Amino acid sequence: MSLDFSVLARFEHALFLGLMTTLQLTAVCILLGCSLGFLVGLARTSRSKALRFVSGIYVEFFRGTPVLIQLFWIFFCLPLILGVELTNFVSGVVALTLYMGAITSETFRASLNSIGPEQVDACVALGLPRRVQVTSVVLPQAVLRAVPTLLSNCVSLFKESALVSAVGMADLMFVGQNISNNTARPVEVLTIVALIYFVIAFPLTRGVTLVEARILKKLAI
Amino acid sequence: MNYTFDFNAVSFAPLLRGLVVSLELTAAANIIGIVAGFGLALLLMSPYRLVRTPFMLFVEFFRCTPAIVQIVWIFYCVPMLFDVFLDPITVGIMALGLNLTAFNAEAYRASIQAVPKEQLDAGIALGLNPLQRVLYIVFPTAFRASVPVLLTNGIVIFQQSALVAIVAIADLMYEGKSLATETYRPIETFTIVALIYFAVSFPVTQIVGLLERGRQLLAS
Amino acid sequence: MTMSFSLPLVKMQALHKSYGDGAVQVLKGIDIEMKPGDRVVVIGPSGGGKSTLLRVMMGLEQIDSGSVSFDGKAYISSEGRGRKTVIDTNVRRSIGMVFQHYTLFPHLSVIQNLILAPCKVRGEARATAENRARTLLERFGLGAKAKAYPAQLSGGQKQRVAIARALMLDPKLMLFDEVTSALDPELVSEVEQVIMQLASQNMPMMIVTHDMWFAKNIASRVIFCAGGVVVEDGPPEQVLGSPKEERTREFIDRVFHIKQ
Repeated sequence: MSLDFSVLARFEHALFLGLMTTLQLTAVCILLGCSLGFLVGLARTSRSKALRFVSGIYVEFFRGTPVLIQLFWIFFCLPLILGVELTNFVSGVVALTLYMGAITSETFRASLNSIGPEQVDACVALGLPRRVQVTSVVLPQAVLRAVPTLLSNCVSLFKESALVSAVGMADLMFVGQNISNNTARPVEVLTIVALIYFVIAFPLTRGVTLVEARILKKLAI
Repeated sequence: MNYTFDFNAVSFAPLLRGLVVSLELTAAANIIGIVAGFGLALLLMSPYRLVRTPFMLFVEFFRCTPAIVQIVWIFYCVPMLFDVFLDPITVGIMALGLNLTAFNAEAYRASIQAVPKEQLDAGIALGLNPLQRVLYIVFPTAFRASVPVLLTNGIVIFQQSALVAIVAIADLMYEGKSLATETYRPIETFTIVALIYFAVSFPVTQIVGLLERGRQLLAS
Repeated sequence: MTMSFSLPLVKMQALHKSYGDGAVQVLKGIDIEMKPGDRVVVIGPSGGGKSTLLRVMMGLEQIDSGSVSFDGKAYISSEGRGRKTVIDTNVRRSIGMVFQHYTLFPHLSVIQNLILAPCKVRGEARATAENRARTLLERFGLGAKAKAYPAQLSGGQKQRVAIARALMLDPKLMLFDEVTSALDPELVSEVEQVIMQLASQNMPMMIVTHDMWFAKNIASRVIFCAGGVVVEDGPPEQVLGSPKEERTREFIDRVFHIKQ
C-alpha cells in the first residue's frame, strides 16, 4: 500500500485548530488543577482527621478509576444532577481539573512530607510562630521540591486530554480521527497526530530532568 | 433535579461480561509487559548506541503519546500496513501490552541502576565473576525494588484498558456505556462501573503501599 | 571552696521522660542547676540522654514529669505522662540552639536566614536586622558569604551561619547539640573557635560534644550523663581528669584509650 502524506496539506488548518483546543484545555486545567491539588495536598497533611479522610477519598477515587469514566460521568451525569446543560468544553475542564487535582495533590503531599522535622526544630529554636514557619519555611520548600514531579503531572494531563475527543470535543485527537475517517488514510493522519503529541510531550519530559539538575542542585533542596 | 434513581435497572450480567474482558486484557497485557519489559530494559542498557537508541525511541514514543492515540493507531493502521486481519481483542492486547512493556522497561532499568555500586564492589571483592554478580546481586535487589512499580503499572493498564471501548471492544467501559444509553440511566450505570474499577484497583494500590512501607522498614 | 550565692540561671528538677508510652525511659530524674556564666559540657555514651536533655531545654520535647525554670521564671513543667507539657514560649525565646545538621533554610540566602526570625517574630526593621546580621557575619569571618545560599557553603561555614542565626535573637543561653560531629575534621576548629569567642564574651552555654579536647578547653563544668541520669557533675579537671565515679572513669578510659 502506498503512503500519501500530501492529503494532510488540505487539513493543516483543521489540525492546527484542534491542537490549539488541546493546548488551551491543557493550560486551563494545569492552572486550576495545580491550585486544587495544592489545597488538597495541604488537606491531606493537615492535623484534622476529617479533612484528611475526605481529601483521601477524593484522591483515591480519582486515581483509582479510569479518566474516561470520570469524563463520561461528568459529561452525562453532572448536567442531570445540576439541571443545566454543560458544554463539552466545560465538562472536559471539570473532569480534567478534578483528575489533575488528585494527581498533583499526591505530588504536594509527598513534597510536604519530605521536609524533615529538623526544619521544624530550627523554626521552634528561633521562636518562629507556626504561621511564619508554614509560610516562610515549609511552603516555599515544598513548592520548589514539587516542581519536577509537577512537570510530569502536566505531561500526563496533556496526554489524558486526548480523551475529550470521546465526548465530541474538537481537540487534536477528535479532528485527527475525523480527517482519518474522511480520507480513509488512517496511517498518515494518525501518525501525524501521534507525532504532534510526541513532539510536545517529549521535550517536556526531558525538561524535567534538566529542572531537577539545575534548580534543585543549586538549592540542594 | 428531575431524575428518579432506579438502581434495579442496572443489570449486572453485561457489566460482569465486560469486566471479564477487561480483566483478560489486563492479564494478557501484564504478562507481555512484565516479560518483554525486562528484555527491553536490558536492550536499553546495552553499551552500543546503535542498539540503545531505536529502543529508547520506542519507549519514549509510548510514554509521550496518549494511550488512546496508540490504541486507535494500532486498531486502524496495523491491519492496513501489514495487510492482516486482527480481531479487536488482539488489537487491545497488542496496544496495552506494548504500552505496558515501555513503562515496565523504564521501571526495570531504574531499579537495576539503583542497585548501589557498593554492593557490586563487594561482589567483586568477594571474587564473583560478572555473571554471578548479575545473578546473585543485581537480580534479587532490582527485582524486589521493581515489584511495587510493576504492580502500579499493572493497575494503570487496567484503567487504561477502559479506552478500548472507544474502538468498540466489549469491555466493562463499553458495556457500561451501552447500558447507560439503553436504560437512560447514566448516573446509576456509570457510578457502578466506576465503583467496579475502583474495587479492583484500590486493593492493589493498598498492597503496593504496604510493600513499600515494609521495604522502608527493612531498609532502616 | 567559694560559696556562690548567685541565683541559678537554669534549674532542672526531677526531669523524667520516656518514649513509646513509657516503654523507653530516656531521662530518669535529672537535677541540674546552671549558674550565670556557666559553660556546661555534657558528655556520655550514645542514647544516654544528652541530646534529649538539650532538646527538652529548647522546648522541643514533652516531658513526663519534673520542671525547668529559667532565670527565676517558671519555664517547663508537666503534670504527668500523657498530659501536655507546659512550655512558656516567652521564656523559650531567650534560649538559642544550634543542631548537629545545621538546618539552615535551603531556599533562603545566608542573610535571609539570619534576618527571618528578628523581622517576623520581633518585628525588627529589615535594615536594622541586615546591619546586625552583617556585623555578626564579619565577626565570624563570613562577611563575603552574605548573599550565598547554604548549598554553596562548606559544612563549617554552614554551622557558623547557624550559630550566627541563633545569636541574632540575643539569647541568654546557647545550646550546642554535637555541632561538630557531622563535620570533616579540618572544618571542626573554625566552628569551635567561634564558640570559644562566645565563651570569652561570657555567654552561658550547654554543649553536648564528643570532642574531649574541646570539652577540656571550654567547660567550666562537665556533666557525665549515662542511662538517663547524671552520673557525675563537676569541674573539668575532676570529671575528665580524675573522675570520682567508676562509670565515668570507664567512659573516659574508653574515649581516651588510656588506662588511668
